[in-house]
Amino acid sequence: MAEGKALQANDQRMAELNRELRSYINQIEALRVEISNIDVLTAEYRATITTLKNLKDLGAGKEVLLPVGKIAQVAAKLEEVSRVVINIGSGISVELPFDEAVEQIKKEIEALLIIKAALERAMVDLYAKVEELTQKIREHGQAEGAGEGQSQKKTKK
Amino acid sequence: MVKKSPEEVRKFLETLPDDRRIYYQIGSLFVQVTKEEALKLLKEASSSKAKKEV
Repeated sequence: MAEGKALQANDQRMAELNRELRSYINQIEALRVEISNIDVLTAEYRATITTLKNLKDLGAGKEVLLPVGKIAQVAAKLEEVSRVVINIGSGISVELPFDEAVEQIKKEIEALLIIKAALERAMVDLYAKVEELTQKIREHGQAEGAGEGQSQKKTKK
Repeated sequence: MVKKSPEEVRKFLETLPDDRRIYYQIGSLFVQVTKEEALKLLKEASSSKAKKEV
C-alpha cells in the first residue's frame, strides 16, 4: 500500500519534471524564432542602407523602376536622394536628411542587436536549466528503477 | 523596427525642425500631416490603446 503510494508520488514527480522540461524547450523555441526575426530585420536594414547609398551615388536623373504591388513596376526618374522618409513607429514617418536617415537606421540596427544579445543570454540560461532538469530526470528515473527492483525482490521472497 | 511607444515617437517628433515633412500611414497611403496633426493623431492612438487595455 505504502509502496504503491510512493510509486504514484514518483510518477507524479516525473510528470512534473517532464512538464517543466517541455516548458523550457518551448521557451527556447520561441526565443529562437524571435532571434531569427531579428536577424532577418537586421539584414533588411543593412540592405536598405546599401540601397540608399547606391541610389545617392547614382544621382539625379537616373531611371528607376518603382514597384506597384508585387507584380508590376513603373519607370520613374530619380531625383537627388538628399532626403529620405523613415518610419519612426505608431504609423508616423518623417522626412530626414540623407545622413540623418542612415544614422537612424543604424540606431535601429544597434537597438535590435542589443535585444538579440539579451534574448541569446536568456536562451543560454534556459539551456542550462534544461541541462539541469535532464540530469534530475535521469537521476529520478534511475532511483525509481532501483526502487522498483527492490520491491520486486521482496515480492519474490 | 524596434517597437516604439507613442510617447517615444512624440518625443522624437518634438525634436524635429518645423520644416520637416511628416506622414501618417492610413492603410497603404501616406498622408502628409503637420507636426501638430501628427502629435494629435499620436495622442488619439495612445488614448484609444489605453481604452482597449482597460
